[in-house]
Amino acid sequence: MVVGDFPIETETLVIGAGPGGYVAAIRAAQLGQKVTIVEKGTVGGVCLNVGCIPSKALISAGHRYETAKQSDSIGIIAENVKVDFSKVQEWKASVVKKLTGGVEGLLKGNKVDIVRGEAYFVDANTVRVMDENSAQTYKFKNAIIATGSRPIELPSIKFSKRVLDSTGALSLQEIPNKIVVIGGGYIGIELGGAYASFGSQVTILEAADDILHGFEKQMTALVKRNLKKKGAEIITKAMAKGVAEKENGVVVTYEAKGEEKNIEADYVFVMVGRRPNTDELGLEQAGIEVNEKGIIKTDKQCRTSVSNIFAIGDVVEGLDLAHKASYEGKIAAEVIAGHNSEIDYLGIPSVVFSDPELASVGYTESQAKEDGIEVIAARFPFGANGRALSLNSSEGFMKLVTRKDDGLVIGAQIAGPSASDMIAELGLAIEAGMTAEDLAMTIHAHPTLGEITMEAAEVALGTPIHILK
Amino acid sequence: MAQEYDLVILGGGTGGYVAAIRASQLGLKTAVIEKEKLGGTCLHKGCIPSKALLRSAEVFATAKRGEEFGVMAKEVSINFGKVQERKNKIVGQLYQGVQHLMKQGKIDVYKGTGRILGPSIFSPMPGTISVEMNNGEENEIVIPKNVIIATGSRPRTLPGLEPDREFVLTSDEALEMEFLPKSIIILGGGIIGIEWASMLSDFGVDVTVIEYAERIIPTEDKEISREMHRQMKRKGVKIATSAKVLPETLQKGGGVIISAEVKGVQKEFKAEKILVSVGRLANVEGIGLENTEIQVENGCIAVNEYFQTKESHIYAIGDCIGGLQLAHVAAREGIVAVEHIAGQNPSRIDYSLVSKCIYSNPEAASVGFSEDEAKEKGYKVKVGKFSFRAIGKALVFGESDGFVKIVADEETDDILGVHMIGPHVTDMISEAGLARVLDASPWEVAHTIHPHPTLSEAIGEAALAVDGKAIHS
Ligand SMILES: Cc1cc2nc3c(=O)[nH]c(=O)nc-3n(C[C@H](O)[C@H](O)[C@H](O)COP(=O)(O)OP(=O)(O)OC[C@H]3O[C@@H](n4cnc5c(N)ncnc54)[C@H](O)[C@@H]3O)c2cc1C
Ligand SMILES: Cc1cc2nc3c(=O)[nH]c(=O)nc-3n(C[C@H](O)[C@H](O)[C@H](O)COP(=O)(O)OP(=O)(O)OC[C@H]3O[C@@H](n4cnc5c(N)ncnc54)[C@H](O)[C@@H]3O)c2cc1C
Repeated sequence: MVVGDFPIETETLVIGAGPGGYVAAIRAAQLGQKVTIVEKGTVGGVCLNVGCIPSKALISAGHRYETAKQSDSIGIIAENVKVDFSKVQEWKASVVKKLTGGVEGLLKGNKVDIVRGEAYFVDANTVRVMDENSAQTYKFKNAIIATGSRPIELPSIKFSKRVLDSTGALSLQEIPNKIVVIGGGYIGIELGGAYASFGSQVTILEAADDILHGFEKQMTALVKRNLKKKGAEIITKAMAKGVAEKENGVVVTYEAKGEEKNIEADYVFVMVGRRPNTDELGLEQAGIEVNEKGIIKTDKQCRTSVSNIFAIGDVVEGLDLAHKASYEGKIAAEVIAGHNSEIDYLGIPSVVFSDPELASVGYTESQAKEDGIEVIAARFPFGANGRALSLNSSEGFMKLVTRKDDGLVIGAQIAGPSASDMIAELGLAIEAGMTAEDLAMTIHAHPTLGEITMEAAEVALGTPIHILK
Repeated sequence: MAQEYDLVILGGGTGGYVAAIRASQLGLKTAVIEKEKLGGTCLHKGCIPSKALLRSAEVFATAKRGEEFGVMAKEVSINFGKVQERKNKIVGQLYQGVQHLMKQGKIDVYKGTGRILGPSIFSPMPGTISVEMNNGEENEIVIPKNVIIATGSRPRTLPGLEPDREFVLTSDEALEMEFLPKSIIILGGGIIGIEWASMLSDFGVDVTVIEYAERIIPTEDKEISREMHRQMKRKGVKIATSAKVLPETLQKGGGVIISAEVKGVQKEFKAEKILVSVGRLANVEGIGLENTEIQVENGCIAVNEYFQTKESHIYAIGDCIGGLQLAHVAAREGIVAVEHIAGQNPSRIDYSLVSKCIYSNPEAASVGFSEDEAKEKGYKVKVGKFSFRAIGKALVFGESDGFVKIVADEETDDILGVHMIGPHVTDMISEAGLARVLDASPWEVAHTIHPHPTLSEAIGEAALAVDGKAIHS
């Protein structure tokens, strides 16, 4: 310790103010802890600043543009529809600013101490926080690591002015003519899709044999169809090899079907996954164990190998999702406050804001089969739902996965309009241990998209009203 | 030749056709008698066409404010003919679907007006039905073991304010309008009235709502009414509450002029047209009830909890029995009636679990007791409220007004009611409905992980707010 550096004492120290960290901090404060949160960048983390929110803002603006252009089919004529992309960016920034400002207000309102700077473990009860011109030591009883993740860079394709990660892709000031997206995961599909909506010619290169790993073929097929309608090309089993920069663009080299090919584009988006921010944290000084990928090992209570230090969000195992980070944050805060909370991942939904939206919670049919569970997978199409028709978006379906012996709902997948909002009910059904019969018996309002849930349950029971058996 | 059936359903609206499908699934020989079109009010004059028009109106309103989001259009206009065409296409598509389902279920459909006969040569019991056929052929006689009356309802009118297709409309005529009026008075600020007000105002029509009660949508929670009022006014809808219309003052000419007593003061209102939306009357006339012991109370057919009338083999469901006049209620009543007929033991309907939706812009939706209702029933209530302003997805939609409100029982911790107003809340009410069915506590709903960034996060937060634990407020 430097002479004259008096450590500041706190009860719970949270490192990183993303959706994991700030939620953990607020919950810990609500439970009576004295809480300090350290953030080296902007409050709100990836999610609010360069992730979920700005990406959804672009996607939403893209939808507005498409809806306006296509609205003559529903009797609304918008002439000469154009995108003013700098205005889109301005609006996006204003949404982000409102929300990050809000989070900062909430932290303060809950009497959480916000400290600016980068935290580094000195030992299992101490961190040093450094900003440009000063350093301060903090002593804590418990700590929560929520330092999130960052985009992976490919060794052969380095980031540059025209080779962008998701953050760069989100902050373009113009709509490019041609884009190559490397990676058909949800970030690549969402952002590639957004620019395709704005009129860019998009090529998506995916190394695996399908996009959106984890979602079933019937669902990804719908997404691919709509991407193609927007003029996008999807090349699967394609390995990106390298990029040559030219004066006004790039040439991407990739290998598909044993052949090497080139595509020219204005920009390349590299969206091949994220890696945890655990390399510059001094974890070894505190004795915290990580796996070979840098993921921090935790137990069901989000506890690391050091019993007073917890880790949540993108730095631990599992999907990189904001609500998973927040959920783990609440659990960690509760455990620190002496509650006996534990993580249960079955009810964690994942959503993709593609066109149509995809959402999934619990088991898919194939996962259930792999685990040896006998299931009934009941499908109901949006096309047989009055609300979907009236909204002019009737493509897609719900698939409800129930256990064959007792009808228990163990999973659901939705592809269709508002899938991301509809999945919440299925999450509740799974959490509450409901059966297909319970769902069918619940009166769903007419005409709502929610009726699809009831009808899918009726399909599972063998007595559907609005489709043929 | 008279045909015999296990079940004959009088009226092929939502209640009737859903009952028919369930009956066929249960192996009953079933017929439906429909004098107009299968699908009834809901499909042809109600839920579906109104929501199709509302969608066009919403898209128009959204396209006009595209500039805020960087999407510019030189000019946005309405092709109302096309709006109507699309509506008709959707109705047509679903109508075909229903017809197809009848065929597939081997359900006989009689196109005509049915009338219940008393004891006759066909049967010693009342319930035989004579069908006056639409095609002018000789009346058909059908002899059912059981009957379900599902004749629905029609718009209520006021003496002196009968629809004339030109100046005075009900929703039936309004749905068929060929042109948008410049201005309209909507008499009645209930659910249907407010949907019309929102839609027409979004289409650019100058709208005035005259409501008798002291607030619009008086069946909803007070705070929902207040927020809806605020948002309608912001759109430019003029609203007079505690206003008693004086039908005798109606003058028709280039438009309409009518007076109302507004909080005791007589006021004159002028517009191109007037839409009367003051509730619905059950269709109980001309169907032969006088030939039976069936009782009519307050204009509706009286039934027990399994929807049996005084004639135990004759059931009645849907709008013709009053209560919550909603399509999903009619459908469920139909299913319960059929299962009872088939000798099953259906669970009774708990009407406090039924959700109600308003498809205005913003939407509103609710299930269970309002705060005041809960208090009147003697509950000690606690309330959690969460605004869409702190929900990222609502900001992304550019629609951050509105909130989710959860009313819970302080003693048992059960959720008693959920009330929402804001973007897409009709898609979100299912979860709340399920929570009510589960007798869930706010904690259980909060514990369910709501994906980010979605609107449904507001439900999770409102549930936390019940016990003062919301994260984002
Ligand atoms: C383009 C994009 C779109 C996405 N869309 C969605 C979506 O729709 N839905 C969804 O659920 N998820 C989405 N995600 C993922 C989501 O953003 C992450 O899962 C989430 O942000 C993880 O939260 P976190 O709290 O673990 O970490 P982060 O949000 O990454 O926050 C970590 C914070 O820690 C700070 N930090 C790091 N190291 C230190 C240190 N040493 N000292 C102090 N501070 C430090 C960082 O500055 C950062 O603010 C998206 C991600 C991207 C990139
Ligand atoms: C503008 C408007 C909007 C609405 N919006 C919604 C909404 O969004 N959600 C919702 O839940 N509800 C809504 N409703 C209410 C909904 O339409 C009704 O609750 C529902 O249609 C009732 O179904 P039903 O089967 O009881 O009667 P109906 O649908 O009215 O069907 C009765 C049928 O019986 C036929 N019939 C009557 N008498 C005879 C006879 N003697 N012989 C043969 N056939 C006969 C009629 O022709 C009709 O087809 C709306 C209503 C209106 C007017």
